[in-house]
Amino acid sequence: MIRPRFERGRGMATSAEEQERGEVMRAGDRRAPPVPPGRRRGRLARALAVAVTAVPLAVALAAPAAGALGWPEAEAACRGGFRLFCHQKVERSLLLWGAPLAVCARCFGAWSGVAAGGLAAALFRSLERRCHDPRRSFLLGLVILAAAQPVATFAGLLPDASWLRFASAFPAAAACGALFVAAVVELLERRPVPCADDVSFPGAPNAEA
Amino acid sequence: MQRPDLLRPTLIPGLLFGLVSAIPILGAGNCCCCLYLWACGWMAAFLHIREIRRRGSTALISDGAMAGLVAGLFAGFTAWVVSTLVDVLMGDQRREMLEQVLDQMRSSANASPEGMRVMEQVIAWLMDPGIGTRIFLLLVALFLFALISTLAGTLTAALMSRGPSPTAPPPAPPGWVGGGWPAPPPTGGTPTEGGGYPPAGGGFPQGGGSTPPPPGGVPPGGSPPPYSSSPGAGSEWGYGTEAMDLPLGSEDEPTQPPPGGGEPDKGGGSQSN
Repeated sequence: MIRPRFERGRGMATSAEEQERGEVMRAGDRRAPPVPPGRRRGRLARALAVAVTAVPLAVALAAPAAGALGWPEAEAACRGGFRLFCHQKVERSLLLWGAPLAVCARCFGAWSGVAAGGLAAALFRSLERRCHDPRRSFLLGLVILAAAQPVATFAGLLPDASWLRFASAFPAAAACGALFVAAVVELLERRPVPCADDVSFPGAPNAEA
Repeated sequence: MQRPDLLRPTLIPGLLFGLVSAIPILGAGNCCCCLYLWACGWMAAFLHIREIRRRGSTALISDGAMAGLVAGLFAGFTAWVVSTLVDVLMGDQRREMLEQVLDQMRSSANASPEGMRVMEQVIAWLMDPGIGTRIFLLLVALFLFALISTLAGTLTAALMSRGPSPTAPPPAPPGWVGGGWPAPPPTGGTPTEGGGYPPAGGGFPQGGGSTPPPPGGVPPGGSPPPYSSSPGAGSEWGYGTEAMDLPLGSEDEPTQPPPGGGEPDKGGGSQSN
């Protein structure tokens, strides 16, 4: 990644092209320094990943909204799109404006979690960096939590409530969303972050030593 | 090192789980949190990462994501093709089945009017799909299969051990020119007198031949530290114990320290620039 470079007595060179041309920022120059290409690509990757994770959530919310607005074809399309992936039982769904969402409560929790986790990873770089080397026991705990709720409900240990389905799916899905954003940034930015056990990683800071 | 081909580990899970998702009775498994889609991504990422590790490379999170993405696209397309075929071949039976479901729901006592309206709408939309509906369903299938499978692949990559496989050859760091520590004498020599090989216990030679380890990098008498994520600690010995654990006394290395204790090792002890 190209970083703005301070030059003693000359100011700050702002990009690779300007460095080659010898253009530098002088003190008092009000022009904002241009965003380096690598960082721009990273921002684009984060925006793209967040948009992708938000689409299913938006479609799930759009179905009752379209029904309330009197657009039956749009509502049917939203619900029919999820037909292959969700049972869409009304008694197991959350309601919005008196109509059920396009997916059941557990799926809605999953899509909400994916979108929220993706947004959090895009906003907080420390979380995104952490996603390259996540704690496996933590992830496993979230997955087990999501899987344990239906078992506990079936055994009669927990009530069969929609909000509980939503809440059990949300944390694991949020972790998945954050991992997804980290993976997309890694793919598009081509600047992977080494993790603790990546001893052979070619981009590790140690590799150039 | 070249990455393995993505086609082979993704094609089989994609075709398998796409087919299973589109078969009418088996496809109900997807109602359990999109089970087949998660399984598709998991299997593809598992196969791909295992192949990467077997080649001695380190897998990344994005490797799992790519495997899940490609497998999800295969699965989505397969599911769409098979469900269209099923719809064409068994269209009348399917329509009758949907009408029976609708009748059962109408006759049940606890059916809410809102739920009935929604179900009737969806079933009517699915009963007579036109070409536009089919294209829409293809796009939806591709998107959702790819997204869920990518999420599954990413989660699999995060949960799996991603370092090189123990059976794979250790990766050579850049600038590695072979050589390394000369082997210790076969029977009780003086290891540090200009010989350049480490003393017993994995330490570093103190006399001649090798550059001493950087401060804080290697404790005296200890082995080099593993890779540390902090840039300062042991950064010149950053390839960890896996790369440094070279077999002492292998056949292609000198078995005796060179006389005079000059520069006995070409790469093992002097990686610090």
